[in-house]
Amino acid sequence: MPLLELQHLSVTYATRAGDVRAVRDLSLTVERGQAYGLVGESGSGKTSVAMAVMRYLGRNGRVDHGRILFRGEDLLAKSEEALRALRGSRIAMVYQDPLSALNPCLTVGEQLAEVLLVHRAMGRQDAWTACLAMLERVHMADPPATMGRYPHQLSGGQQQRVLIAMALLAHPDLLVMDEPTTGLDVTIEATVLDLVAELRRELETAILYISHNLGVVAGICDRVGVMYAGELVEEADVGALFLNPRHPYTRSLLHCVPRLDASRAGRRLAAIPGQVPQPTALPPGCVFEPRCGFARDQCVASRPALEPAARGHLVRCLRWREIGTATAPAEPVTAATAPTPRAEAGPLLRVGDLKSYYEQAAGTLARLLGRRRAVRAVDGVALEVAAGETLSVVGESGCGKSTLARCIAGLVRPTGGRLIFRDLDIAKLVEARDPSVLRDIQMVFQNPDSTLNPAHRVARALGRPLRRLAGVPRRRVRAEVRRLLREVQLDDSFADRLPRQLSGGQKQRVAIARALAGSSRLLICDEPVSALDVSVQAAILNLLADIQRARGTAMLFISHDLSVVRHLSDYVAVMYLGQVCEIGRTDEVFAPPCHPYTEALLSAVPEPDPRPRPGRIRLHGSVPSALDPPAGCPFHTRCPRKLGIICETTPPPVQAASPTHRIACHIPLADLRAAPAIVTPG
Amino acid sequence: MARVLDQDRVVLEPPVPPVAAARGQTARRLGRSLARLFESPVATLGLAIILFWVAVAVLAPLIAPYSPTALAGRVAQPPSAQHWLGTDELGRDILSRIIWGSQTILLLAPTAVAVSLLVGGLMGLVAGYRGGMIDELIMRTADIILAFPVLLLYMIIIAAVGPSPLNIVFAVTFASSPAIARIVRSLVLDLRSREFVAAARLRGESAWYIMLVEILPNAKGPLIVDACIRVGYVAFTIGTLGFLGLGLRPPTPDWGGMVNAARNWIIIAPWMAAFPCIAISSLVVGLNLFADGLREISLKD
Repeated sequence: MPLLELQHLSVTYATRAGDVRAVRDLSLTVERGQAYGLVGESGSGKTSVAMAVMRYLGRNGRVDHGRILFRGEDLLAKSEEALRALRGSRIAMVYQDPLSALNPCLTVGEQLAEVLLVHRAMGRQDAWTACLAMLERVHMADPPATMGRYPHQLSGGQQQRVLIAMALLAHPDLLVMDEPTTGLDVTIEATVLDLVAELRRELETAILYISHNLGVVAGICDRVGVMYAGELVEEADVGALFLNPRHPYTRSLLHCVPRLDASRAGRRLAAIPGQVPQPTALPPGCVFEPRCGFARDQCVASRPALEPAARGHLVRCLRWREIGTATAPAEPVTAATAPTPRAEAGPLLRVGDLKSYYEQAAGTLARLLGRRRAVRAVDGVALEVAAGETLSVVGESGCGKSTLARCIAGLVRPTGGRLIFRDLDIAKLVEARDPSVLRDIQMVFQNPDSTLNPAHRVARALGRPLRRLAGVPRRRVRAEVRRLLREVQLDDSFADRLPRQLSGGQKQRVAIARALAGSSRLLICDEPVSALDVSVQAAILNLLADIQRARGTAMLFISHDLSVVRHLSDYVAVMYLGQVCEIGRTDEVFAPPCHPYTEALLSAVPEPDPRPRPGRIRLHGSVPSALDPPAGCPFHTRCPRKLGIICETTPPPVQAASPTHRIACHIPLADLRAAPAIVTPG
Repeated sequence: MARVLDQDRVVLEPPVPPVAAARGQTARRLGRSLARLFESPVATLGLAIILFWVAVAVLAPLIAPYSPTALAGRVAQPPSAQHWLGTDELGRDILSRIIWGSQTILLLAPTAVAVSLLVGGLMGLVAGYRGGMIDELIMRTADIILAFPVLLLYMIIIAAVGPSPLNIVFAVTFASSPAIARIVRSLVLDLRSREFVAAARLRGESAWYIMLVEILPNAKGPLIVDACIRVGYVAFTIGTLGFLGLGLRPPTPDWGGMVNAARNWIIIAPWMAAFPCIAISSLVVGLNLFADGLREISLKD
């Protein structure tokens, strides 16, 4: 008897626009001790499945068809009382946002012990000891101290560990994890995923793991189900799914993710055209048909059923036999272009010893007493961007990459250092800059929901910069708006839409069009795709690459995602705690010799490939506060290759590994060169 | 698919002149907003009450049976066929005075609120967007004004400058713009950190353009709800001022003044006070219901 069995599950939400069927006819089984990964983009219904299993669908949600069998018993038939006894003891859940899943008023110890007091009827003393042991088990540093802390005193990774410990305390049979690492930095994510994998090997707990990230699922699951628009489109064991995917959607998804080992070399990502359909406007036939490169008339006419393609491999496609292993006829691949050589005329932008400190928000009293503490967001950064090339800045949250971008854009006044654009000094706020610089430096922002003014239509969002920056006369604005829209592959009808009538990817396209209105020469992109689904992300990355090729715009690309950076950049700078620890050509940075931090970042990236990878190193602890950055090398508190006292006292020397490649580290270059490559050259 | 449909429509429909198209679009949008309004019974009821009083005020010359100042009958008559709501202490028709009095209140209250919104909104915008010393200066001034009990403030101002419609507007503006400034400032503090404001700065827009064109339209939702409630308060205040003898000079029909005049007759002729009181409260209740309904609708989105 399987542990969990979903039979023809349908989940419906009642909304003002009518009933929305978020999940349709979904069947899956999770065996005892198995890790089942449910993958899908936003709107695929994967979280609804998790919530249905927990029977937490909320007031407007209901299961209107199907059965949920847990150890042979139907959960839907159970009373609220019986469910409560089941949750927390037999079934436990780990949520996406750890801070909102923990009670801010209780210490970690109180919350953990409560599980045992309620579900196990343990004594206080025993419960406390068991909790300490469990915190030890999830590799929490200093468990006794952690027990006395409040959730806000822990870092995100620690909070997630506490939640996992809490979920495991009652030894549940099933652990439901809904995107447990989505809000975490890669290095932290990697250690949490290691923990999940380790616990799975040692405990008998089955896991239903919900994620949008194929790489994460590849690393820890045995069996994987791919969801699209509320349906399971493919299900197979992890090896078969990633190495021999059958459904066109799964394949496209795997193709459109940029990979660490594939360098730029003019390659385009195989983006999936269009977007996930609204659950209220599903296509009549196959749900993926409008975006599928293999679609035929038969796909419009009838809805495919889930059928076995091989042993244990289910696929919901009418044409899987004919398609075989052919790749989808996606967008044409443009000819490879060599990395742009450095322009002879000298760099477009020169940044020298740039510093941006800001005062920590202190109370009025502390201010009066003269207690000022500066956060060193950017602390002595030097880099150059030449015309037409892309420099990416990577690093985890809090490393100062966004502040650096905002300094260059002129949204933040630098505390010190040089910023030279062409031959103009731009180390000041945008309002104080030479007007000729305005049109040359434009920016694309991270959050699609706040990048466009909700009160302005697209025509206005584009028309205003056209008139101000490009000096387009009023009567020609309309035509120019249409031309810009076409350049970002949106049709004319978008001009009259309001931002709320656009999807995330479309908003980001409009934002890119807005930044291009004045024919800018330097485009600063601050995490432009991090809020988008992977299938949309690929299209935006292609668009940026096309625009750069067509217009010769230089790009400063800020990102936390090394795979994206690898795909897009000519040069890469790695930042840690406000300083650049490594900078060089993309192929140089992604191969030895590299800074220990770069090495750790590279080995932390979850890759959509279930085969084991060599040379993994892990970072422990979290990024120190930029209020009191460590003396010497800022990375020494977490460095796995720390030499000794010299790292704690002396700032590291900048070593030149090649004319374009610089590493700030005490370790001799020869030793760094000897390290095994994390990424095999593609 | 959608694109194909759009192209088809362009082909099928005769070309529409741009201005007419824009007008049609505005009308359609207005229709949609109204349809959403009627989804909320609370807002519909509130709107009905408000529209009732607006109609009364507009049609006053046609529907009032007597002149509001004429001595139309005997003193302090109970409601009868000639005087539906009775007569007051001087023998004037109460119904006619209430009908004409609605004009005063419906003209004064929205005007006063509009002026307060203008002044308070500007204060809040500048304080929130500029920050720093300017913010401190404006908001501390606002705090000082807010520290006074509102009624006391009204009495001091009206006593100093004398009762007149203009001075009532002035007093209301003085007393309520600090509160509006606070609301606007908090909205602006949130909005100014949005990325579209950064984008506007990057294309060199002036601070006034950013405040008025980029930020203000996004703050209008909460402000409209606040304004509706505020018009209710001000209607009340104008009534109170009238009651305290700081309202409009007699014999101008003024609901608050009518209650005041009826004070001494409350035992013998309770209807003299009751009907103007009902008038004031129904208008205030209508405005509050409307505001509640609007908030409810805006929360649904």
